[in-house]
This record gives sequence, C-alpha cells and structure tokens, in this order.
Amino acid sequence: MSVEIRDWKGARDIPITPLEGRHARIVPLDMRLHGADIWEAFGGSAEPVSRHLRHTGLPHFDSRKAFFRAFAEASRATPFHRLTRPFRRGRPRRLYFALIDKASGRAAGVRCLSSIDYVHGSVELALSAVGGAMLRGTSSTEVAYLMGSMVFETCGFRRYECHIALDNEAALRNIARIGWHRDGVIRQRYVHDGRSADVAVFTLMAQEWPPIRDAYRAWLDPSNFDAEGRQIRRLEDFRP
Amino acid sequence: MTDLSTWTPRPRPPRAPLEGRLVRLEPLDAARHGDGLYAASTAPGAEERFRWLFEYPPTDRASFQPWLERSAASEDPLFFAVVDRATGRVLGRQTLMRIDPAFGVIEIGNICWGPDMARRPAATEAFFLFARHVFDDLGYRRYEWKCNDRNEPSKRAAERFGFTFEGVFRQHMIVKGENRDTAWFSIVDGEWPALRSAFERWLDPANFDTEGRQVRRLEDFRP
Repeated sequence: MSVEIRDWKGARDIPITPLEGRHARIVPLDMRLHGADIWEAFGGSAEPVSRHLRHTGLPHFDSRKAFFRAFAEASRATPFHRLTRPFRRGRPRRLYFALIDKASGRAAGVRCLSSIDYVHGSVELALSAVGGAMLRGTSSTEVAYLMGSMVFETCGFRRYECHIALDNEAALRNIARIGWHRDGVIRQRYVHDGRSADVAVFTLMAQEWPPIRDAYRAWLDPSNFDAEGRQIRRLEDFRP
Repeated sequence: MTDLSTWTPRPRPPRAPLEGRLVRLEPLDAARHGDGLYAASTAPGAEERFRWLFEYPPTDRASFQPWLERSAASEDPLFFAVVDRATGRVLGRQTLMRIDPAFGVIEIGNICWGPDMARRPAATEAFFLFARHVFDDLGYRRYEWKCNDRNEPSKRAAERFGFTFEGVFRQHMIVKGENRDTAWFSIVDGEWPALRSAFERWLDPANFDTEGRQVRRLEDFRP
C-alpha cells in the first residue's frame, strides 16, 4: 500500500441521528430516557450490574445512584455534541450511545466511541455492553454492523480500534472471530480493581471493512435463520 | 500479580529542571532558549532531523517564535530544552507527553536532538534523566516510546535504550501527507532497576576513553 495519502480532508462528523436496523436502534445516550432500562438489563441491582460490567474498565458501582451519576456525566458529552457540531474545533472526543432492542422497545445496552480523532481518521470503541434481551438473538450483532457502517462508510474513518483486557478471554475470542486484527499488547496500561491491566489492541482498517460488512449482511439476512430464529450458518462462515 | 489495591494517581511532572552530569533539562522558555534552539533546529542536516516530526524545520527566526511560545506554554506535551552544562548552549529539545497520572503512564516524544548531541553521550543522558524522573521521582508504571514504523533510527534507539516492542498500530495517523503506522515500545516499572543500573554504568566517565569513545556498549551492561 502506498504511504502517500491524497485528498484527505479528515473524517466526517459522527451522526447524532438514530442508526436504524431491523432488530436494534442506536441513539445518543440520554440517561433520563434510557437509564432505568439499561440498569434493569444489566442486572437491576448493584452487585449484578458491577459483575456484568467487570471487564469494561468501569468502576465498581455501590448503588443505582452511583451508576446513574457515572453515566449521566458520560452522556452529557452527547447532547453537548448537538450544540458544538457546527464548530469543528469543539467536537467532543467521546460519545455515548444507547442500544435499543426494537422487539421490546427498551434500551438494553450502551456503547462509547472515544479517542475520536477526525484529523487522523481514527476512533476507538471504548465501551460495549449489552444485557437483557440483547444477550440473546441477533440485535447485538446488528449493533456491531450498524456501528461499523457508520464509522467507515458514513464518516470515513481509516482506523477503528478496540482495547480488550488480556484476562477477558471471551471478548478476545469474539473479536478475533469477527475479523479484527491484533496490533499488539499495551503492557500495564491501566490499574483496575487494584490490579495491573494489560490490554490487547485490535483494529479494523477501512480497506478491511467491505468483506466483513458483507459477512454481517449475509449473516443478518432473514434467510439465515430457521423458523425458531436460530442461525443456519455462523458469522465466521460468511467471511472469505 | 502485583497488588495495586493502594494505588493512587501519580503527580504530573512539574515544570522544574533535571540535572545531569553532561546536560541539564530545562522547562522550555521562549526567551531563554529561543535563539539557541533555533540554531540547533536549523543546523546542517535539519531536513533529515525533522523528517519524522510533525513539523518542518523553521525557515527563519521570526516564524519560529509562535511555535516557541505555543510549545513553552503547553502542559501536554511538556517541552524541555536540553542544555549543555559545560557551555550553556541549547543542544535540542524533548517532551513528556500523553501524561496519564491516573494510571501512571507517560511518553517521551517530540525529540529533536541537534547535531551536537545526537548519537553522543549527551543524548543518552538526556533520555536517562527523563526515564529516571518518570520512574523514581514520579512513580509512574509505564514509559512509552512511539515512532513511525518506517523510522529505523528511532526504532534502533528505542531498543538500545531498553524498550520492549509491543506492536505496530496500523494507520494510526496521517503526517505530512503520508500514512503513519506507529511502532509502540514501552518500559514498565519492573524493568527499570536493571535498566537504570546499565545507564549509570554506561554514563560513568570510566566507560569512555581519552577520545570520549565508549568502552562498552549500553546493551553490554544489561543482564
């Protein structure tokens, strides 16, 4: 690949309009609208919620109030985005989204894009958590597809990055299965729960997205599900 | 696994000089270091020295001034001038950057070592003063070095200084109209005591002959 980059004008704004799928919808997080549903989906009380989120790097939540406080601060960045969007210099580096399960109409997950770097065209998926209805079925896979499409196609980012703690084996397996490339391991990057955390850095490049997108589309197609809604072929079976 | 249950955020690096035997690192000051740094930045070979930096060599003293003032005022990156202790001349500059006190992570970057210090003991000492400050004074856990993956001299320097290669972060940036894949290196706190000892022994005057040439290489002092 040539090192020269011609006509690069930076990535385009991350949209604040809903991303609509068949099973899921992604909207800017607003805790007043989504908070109670997300709390329920993640377990409904402090211990289960904290356990559910233990790999995300979020702190341990002692109470529902602490959870709401943490995410209220997080979601404030998102309405702020509406105000500052016309002013390129003021664009926030971090945005939170609620994931809506369309069957129930309730929020059942949250995602965060951080280290948003429009100048170099790089963005990080810093938080991805689903619960309740989204743990089963196809909607969380659809969320990954919708967000990937937004990052690469709508906005034109060149690099989509995700950090996963080395002790989170399920997530490490899952992300490699979807086709992300492991760029390296950042040693001693965080201190979490009194322990040092090494994180693996996974990335997708814009030029790697089309075959992955096609696999998502083929997997998500209704023809890939039987009458009970079970998949016929696995996602990785559609990858070249 | 190290118990970090009592971990607390580390201090930010203060704006204070760091004293070595050959060089002193001084927080960049536009008035005090401007002319000297301009001279070091425009000395023959400037194009090559700026090849992998984000900026270009300054073209004249007046146009250097805004960069100088902006850089001197910056908290992150935090700029230091490298000053020759014997002569008081400015030899180059370097920064502490991406400062993350919450987790004790910090990077050395924006290095521009002029011809009178590049590939000389002064450069090694300037590097060592930062590293020692980061680990021993500030108590950080991780010290990073990053460069364009095509910048072979920088990658060699990282290895000579004792960094561990962690990976290539693909399509990380666009610099001067070119894609930059970034090579990542780090030193973590557990590795530092052995590295510090090697630096101290290498930098000792006893390790240089009468022409100022090293007797043993830095790597030879590491276990």
